[in-house]
Formats: sequence, C-alpha cells, structure tokens
Amino acid sequence: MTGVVIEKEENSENQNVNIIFSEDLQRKGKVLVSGNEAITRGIIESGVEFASIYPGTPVTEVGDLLYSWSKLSQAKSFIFDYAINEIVALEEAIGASWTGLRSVVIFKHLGMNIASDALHSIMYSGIGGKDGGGMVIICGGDPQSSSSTNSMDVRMYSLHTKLPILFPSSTQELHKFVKLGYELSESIDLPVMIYTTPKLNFATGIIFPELIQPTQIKPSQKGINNDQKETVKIPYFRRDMNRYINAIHFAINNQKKLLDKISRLEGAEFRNIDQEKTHLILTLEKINEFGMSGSKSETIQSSSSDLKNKKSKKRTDFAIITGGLPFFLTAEIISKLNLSSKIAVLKINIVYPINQSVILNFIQKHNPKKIMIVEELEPLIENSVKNILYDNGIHIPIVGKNIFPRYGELSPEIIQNAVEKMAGIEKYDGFKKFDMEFDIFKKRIPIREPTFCPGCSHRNVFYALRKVADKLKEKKDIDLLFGGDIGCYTMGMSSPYSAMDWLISMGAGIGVANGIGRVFKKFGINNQRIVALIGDSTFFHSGIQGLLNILKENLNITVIILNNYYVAMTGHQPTFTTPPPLISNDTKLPDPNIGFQNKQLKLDEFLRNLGAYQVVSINGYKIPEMITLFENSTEENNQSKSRTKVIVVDSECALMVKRNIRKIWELPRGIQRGPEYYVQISSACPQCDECYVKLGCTAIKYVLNEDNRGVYLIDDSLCLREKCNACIDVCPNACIEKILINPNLNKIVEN
Amino acid sequence: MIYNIFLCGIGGQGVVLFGRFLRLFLFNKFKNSTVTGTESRGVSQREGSVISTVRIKFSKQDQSKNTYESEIIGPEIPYHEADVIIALEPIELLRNLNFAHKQTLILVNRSPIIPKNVILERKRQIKEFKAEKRGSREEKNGNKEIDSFSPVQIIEKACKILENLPVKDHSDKGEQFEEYSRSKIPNEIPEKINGNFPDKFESFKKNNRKLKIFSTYLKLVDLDLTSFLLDQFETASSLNFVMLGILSTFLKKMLPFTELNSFIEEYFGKNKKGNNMVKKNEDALLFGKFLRLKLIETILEADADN
Repeated sequence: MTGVVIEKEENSENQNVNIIFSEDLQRKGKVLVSGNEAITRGIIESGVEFASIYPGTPVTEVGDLLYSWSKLSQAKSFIFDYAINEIVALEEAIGASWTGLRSVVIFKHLGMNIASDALHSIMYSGIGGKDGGGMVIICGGDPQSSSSTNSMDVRMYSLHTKLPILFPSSTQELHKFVKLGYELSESIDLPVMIYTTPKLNFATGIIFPELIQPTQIKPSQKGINNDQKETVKIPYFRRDMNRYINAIHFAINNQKKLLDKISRLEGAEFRNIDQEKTHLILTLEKINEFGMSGSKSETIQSSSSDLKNKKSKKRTDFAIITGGLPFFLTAEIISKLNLSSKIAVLKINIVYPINQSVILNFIQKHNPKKIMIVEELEPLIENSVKNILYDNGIHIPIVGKNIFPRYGELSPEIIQNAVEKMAGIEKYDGFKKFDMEFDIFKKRIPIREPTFCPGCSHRNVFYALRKVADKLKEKKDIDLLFGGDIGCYTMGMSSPYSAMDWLISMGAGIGVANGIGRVFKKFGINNQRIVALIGDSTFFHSGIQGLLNILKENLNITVIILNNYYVAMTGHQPTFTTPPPLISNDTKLPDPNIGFQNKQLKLDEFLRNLGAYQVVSINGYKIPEMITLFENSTEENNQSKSRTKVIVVDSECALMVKRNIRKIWELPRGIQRGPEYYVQISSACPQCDECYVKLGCTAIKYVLNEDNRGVYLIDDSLCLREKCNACIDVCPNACIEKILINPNLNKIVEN
Repeated sequence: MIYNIFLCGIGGQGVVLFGRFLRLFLFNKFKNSTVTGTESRGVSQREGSVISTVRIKFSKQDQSKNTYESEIIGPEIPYHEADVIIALEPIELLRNLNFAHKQTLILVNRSPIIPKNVILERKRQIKEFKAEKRGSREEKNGNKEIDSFSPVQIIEKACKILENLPVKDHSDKGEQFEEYSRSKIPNEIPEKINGNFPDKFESFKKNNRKLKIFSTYLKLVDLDLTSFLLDQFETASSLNFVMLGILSTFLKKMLPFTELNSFIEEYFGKNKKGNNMVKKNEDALLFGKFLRLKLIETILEADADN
C-alpha cells in the first residue's frame, strides 16, 4: 500500500485551507479562532519569514498551521522546519534573524531546558541590531503537568537569561502580542518570549485580524531578483565580531549591553515602545465599560513628575496584580461579585522585566490597604513587585503564594475563595451540602485510563515484554527493568503491561540505563537486566548520545527503538524515518521533502554505522517472533560478541495506517484494493481474557448479547483488520476468525 | 448575561467537534456578543474523559468595532454555572455534576461506555461470588453502586445527587436569561415534523418506549442512542447532531432549527468533501427534533397520570 502514490484532484487545494490564511480576513471585522490559530495569524501578519519548531503540547498546532501556510502560494519565500530538537530550532531561528529575516521558534516549556544553553549567549548577542530581524519564542507551559513530566515555571529562566516575557491573557491578546513582540524585539535588539498555558492555547475567542504584512527583510544588501529583474532587498549576514563572538572580553561586554537593555525596560527610560499597547490599568468601576463601550481603559502616565503630583485621597480596600489567563478569571469573578468599586486590578503584560513605573503609578493612584497577587506556579510577579516596593520605601502588606498553591492551574474556584476572603464578604454556602456529598461520591467514579489506540503496534510490543518479563521472573528469577521515555509508548506504564520503571525526560530511558548498567557491570549483578525503550523521534532528539555512551562500554542492555515513523503523539509531525506520503501534493503532513534527504532513513542501517553490532529489525505485528527475540536478547549470552542489543520495532503508526486505508477505500473503481476481511470473535469464545485483558485492544468490547450474557465482540469500526491481526495471534483457543467481506471479489492473501 | 453550555463525553465521541460547531454557530448568529470556550485534548480515540465548554455573553451594544478587549469573560465555566450540560456518556455526566445548578438543563445519552477496569473488577466479583456460593451479591459489591452495568442506576444516582442542589442559587441571571433560556415544558407540541421521516424510526419507537424524565430538572433522553445511531448513520458524530436537534427545540431563540440546518450544510459542505456527510447530519438533527416530540408526549402522559 505504501507504494501507491495517488495524484490529488485539482482545485482540492482550497478545500482544506484554514480561514486564518485568507488575505482579506480583516474585512470580516472579527473572527472566531482558537488560541493557537490566533498566534499563527499574528505570526503571518507580522511578515515572519522563518519558523522552526520541535512539537510539544500545547503549542504543536502553531507549527502545523505554519507548515500548511508554507505550502501556500502566497507564502513562497516562507521557510519552515520541523527541527531535530529545541536547541537546533532556536539556533537556526537566530541564524535567520541575523540575516535580516523575522523569525519565530516554537516549543513547550520543557524544550526551554534543551534550548537554554544557546539562549543564554544568544541574549548577549541580540538579534543583530539594526540589520537583524525580530525574533519571537512561542513557549507553552503546562502548570497542571497534563502532558508533561513536570510543570516547571519557564518564566523563571528569565532571571538569568534576561529574556523579556509577554504574558497574554486572552485569544485576542495572543494575536496582538505576537505582533507587539516583534516591535519590542526589534526596538530593544533582543529575542522576546510569548508565554502561554494550555487553557489559553486551546481556548476559543475572537480576534480582529489585520492586513498581512509583506516580507520583513531588513535591507542589508541590494540584489537582483531573478524572476522580476528588478532591484530587491535580499538577506545578508553582516560580520560583527564584537556582537556575535562571545568569548574573552567580548562576552562580558555583551553581558553589560544586555543588562543595559533590560534596565531600560525596567526603568524610566521606557520610551521605545507604545505604552498604551502594552500596559493597561483596569479599574474595576470601569469593568463593564471596559468591554461594553469598547473604550480603552485608563492607561498609565509614566513620567516621574506625574507620579509625585498625583495624590489619591480615596483608599482602595485592596488591589490585585495579575497577568495572563488568571487576569480574566479574576476580572470575571470581581464583576460577578459586584466588587468593582472596592477592588482595583492591574494586569501585567510584560512579566519580565516588570516596569517600575507601572507598579508605582498603580499604587499611587489607588493607594490600596493591601495587595493580592494572582499568578500560577512560581512567584515571579510577586517577587518583582516586592522588590520595587521595597526599593521605593513603600510598605503595603502583600498576599500571594502564602495563600495560593505553588502547583497546578488556578481554577476560578480558588481565585473566588481568595477574593471573597480578602474582601471580607460571606461565602454563599448554598452549595455546601451538594459539594460535600459530591466530593465523597466523586472518588468512586471510575477513572478512564488512556491507553493505546486500537491496532497500535506498541501494544503488541508491551504485551510481548510483559510475557517475557513474567516468564524470566518465574523460570530464572531474573527481574527485567524497563527504562521509559516520552511518547505514545509512555502508556505502557499502566496495567496490564506495567512495563515502565522510570520516566524522567526525553532520552532518559537510555540515559539512566547507562548508570544502572555500569553499576551492574562493576558489581557483576546478573539477576536484574535492563531494557531501555525509546521512540524514533525521541531517539533523534536526545537518545543518540545515550546510546553511543552505552555502546562505548558494551553494557548488557537491550535497547528497543519503537519506530512508528512519526512524532505520533503530537499529531504525526515528520521525523527522519517518515515515509513519503501516500498522496502527493497533500497540504497536510507529512511532506516528502521533510524526511532525511528526501527519503526515509533506515534506522537499522544507521545504527550499524553508529557501531552497534547487534541490530535486529522486526515488524511490530509479529507477536510470537517478538517474544522469542526479546527473550533471547534479555537472557545472558556470554558467547555473543556484543552485550548491547539494539532492537528496532518497525511499524507505521496505526492511526496513519487507518487513514491510508480510508484513502484507498475512497479511490475510484479500477484501482486494486487490498484483501478485505473483517475479524470477529466466534461464539465458542470461553472468555480466557487473553485478548481483552492481556493484549488489551480497545477494539474488543464486552457487550451484552440477546440472552443478557456478557460476550466479547470486535468493533469493526475501530479494527485494523488485515493490517493488524494481533488478537488472532494471541488467542490460545483459535476463537478469532477472519470473515471475508466479499468472497467473490477478493481472496485472502496470507503472508 | 453569560450563558454556559458544558459538553462532556469520552475521546472519539466528538465532544471537541461539537463544541467548536456550537461556538461557531453562536458566533455567527449573535454578531454583537462574545463567544468563547475551551476544551480538553490529548485523549481522542483513546477513551479518556473529554470536556468542552461554550460560553456566550450577550450584549446589546454593537461589538463589531475593533476594541482592545470586548468582554470580560474567561474560557472556563465555574462550578455550578453551566446552564446546559450535554453528556454523550452517562458516567461522564456523573463526573461533572458539580457544574450544575438548579435550573440546569441536562441532556444525557444513557448508553454507558464502562471503563475496562470496572468491567474486570465486576467479572472478578462475579467469579468469586460463583466460587464461594455464599453471601449476597449486594454484600460483595459493598459501596460500589456505580460499578454496576445498569445505566438506570447511573442516572438514578445522578438524580439523587442533584437533589442536594439549593432551590434558590446564585445563578439568577435576569430577564435576558429567561429570554434565551429553554422554553418551559410542555408549552406546546411542535408541529409535526415534515414528511414521513419518523417512519424510518418506527422500529426505534417500538423498542424504546420509555422516554423518561427522572426529576424535574434532569431531562433525560432515555435511549440506547449510541448503537442505534451507529446503525442508522454509521458515524459517531450523529449523536452530537441528535443532541443538537433536541437542544434546538429547548433553546428556540438561541438555536433556531432551520438556521442550524443551513449552517450544517455550510460548515460541513465546506470542510468535508461529498454531501453524504451533510445529509446524514441533517437527518440526525431531524431525528433529534423527533425525540423532543416524544419527550413532550411523555411529559404530558405523566401529567395526565398525576
């Protein structure tokens, strides 16, 4: 099937084009888009010409949208790259900025750990001064750790990188702040980060689209455009040793320059960007007018003379300083509780570095008795505000992380409790009885554990691993340790497979195995053996180094690379092992030009070249063979030349297989279809639970039959049929049958 | 006035798509209002819990001009503020009952998709029960009421919990709420649904007599919808459109049936190739309206009995 290449019909290109790519969108006035679409529109409108990404929730979609954009005719000079990892993504983006293009780099908060090595020195160098293009880093956090191994507050990096952070609070601001980010970046000669959280990325809201700007190449050199035979501006890298070389005295000079730029943002000399756009003081008397009349809320007058002259007579009960999504939650609560006349709210849009006069003006104007700071995770705003007040001899009690949790997202309920407590209003307790009863009840509601998709080859791998682990434990008292990693296969940690003993970060499955393996070697430990698991994209991201380090000492470790040809968990972004697409000219992923040198990289060949002697490649749907192979690999074999075994499980992601099958089914008549049968469990099934429990395929359902007895049946709408057959292999009673759909048309072709 | 619609179900049922469709429809219909919402992601096709929120803030002023922020409204629905809850799966309704207030309209598809761990636990219990042959099943099950396979028990549990809601709560939203809020049942029986469409569902009518309302506030579509709809429409999203059809007859002002119909054509006609999809969704919408008719009949019968 992979050999079939289908030409896509003409004029089908326009069918799947997202509304945010349309050139005259501003004529619509306002449009309803998701947070990620708002960011993308902001990027396109800013005339960005270079984008790089390493996929990660919640910002993956921005990259995928920009990829689609790069395929459109109106974006012919747009450069897009799915980078190998975050540091490469960041480095290539700054390279583009240094040649005069506006660039964007997109990754999640954990990606900052990878990219930060380069970022610290890039901040010294800047974006290239007057010749450089602006650079924006779109970084999505995850306070709830809903799809990450930790919820670190990426904003705290700025305490040492000095990276300015814009903190949007709504869909509209996501759109506006991207454009603002480029203005800020170019006016202070630094990259700028836009920090978002998943609730905002996945939220829907309105934006007011503007015109798409033409290419923003900074004129560095004049050249001749081949097509139009006229003089145009072309990108050019202007050598500047002082700026781009961070060594000896250059580095410390550049550091001083960086600190100067930051103090300009912090201090009074804050004139390079339009203040009206970046800072808003929202007084709660005006909360309704704010939205309803469409008037801009009061903005700050930031000259210090004003500050001294203004003396507020009225004292506000208390003030709230916040930013990002919590601002909207807070504002809604205050509006709901009718506290607008009592509470003043300040929204901070640049959370690093916080401008002094913004805080001081706000305090001066409202003269609050106390201040509450509402922010998620670490107290970045809180500490900055405390510093500013201390430096200016202002003593006002501040409530912040002493009442708010330092972990997780802030829910409307948490904020409401705090506001009610601060304002001294009595909490409505009508729901008390309900909530108490419900809290007890909720604990008994069964949790739905996410598992592998129906027909997924990872499931077969983990089924085989569990079999082998149980067998070795029982027969030889050998304990198999499983090093886990980040990807779809992380779900092998839960029952019935339970084949994961640690899960740390990208590449740590192999990385930690390095240490344990060395200890085992030194102490001659034989009753515990290590299996390190890793996916294809994770392997290229940060697994290669760990593997080389294992091969160096030939440690007794079995490394299993689960090669499903895509970055499957984030939505099938291409990686080095991605095959050419089934349908050419498909604007959706994957693109043949994005693989490795326009072809699918053969992982087993690659590994042999790395110096792995024992590399075995196996199909992920051959369960009996996998069990034998895993067993042989994990059993001690002193005769073997190599103690490190590398197994590549080659199987395309089941979702992709299913999509391709559908595409084949939609083909016009005359084109050969594959064998078609469906798989069903016969009535002879004694319910041994092998397929339902131990294999655990979600296409197998437990349903009541006519006699009200529970039976196992296969849901054909989920089943992969001839592409999988895993349940047929595992059934010990031969109760799972292949049933021909049209026996006259096709014959079953057995492998 | 903020009107909140809360959607829940499991990955693959189309909760996210339903939410997007509803938001876009409301956005197009009420040009002067603000529409927002958010959704949980990442467990599609993997049978995890999924939610989606739709919030609309009605305002009388014209909002079409470019304002910096047009409305103060966050994407999340606070607890006890959902005006409509649509549950595509009953266990997911239980999980999210704390979003309900006393006036909440709850539509629930009662075909449960029981989590695998519950089925296994249940099977083990039955096995033990058979092996030991002593002690009653109730004793064995202890407190695990909802571990039962019975959808009726799930729904009854939900009703019992909802009884704890205060009669007068803080979600008094004023006149405008009444305007857009559901019409009172049974004000009127809608005119006969066009053509002989319901004949197609004659068998359905016979097998599912018990359209039932369990409490004053829980309006229940007491049907095995999932399997029936898959038979008829061969697509999981039909469930969403049946729900939309029922909803449109409750919220006439917000979701007028004819406008919904033409919007479906526009939305799916543009995005998906072939009109088959559109036709099926329209049928499902019509079927939803038909169910609403049955629902009202049942209420009238119940009133007559009392």
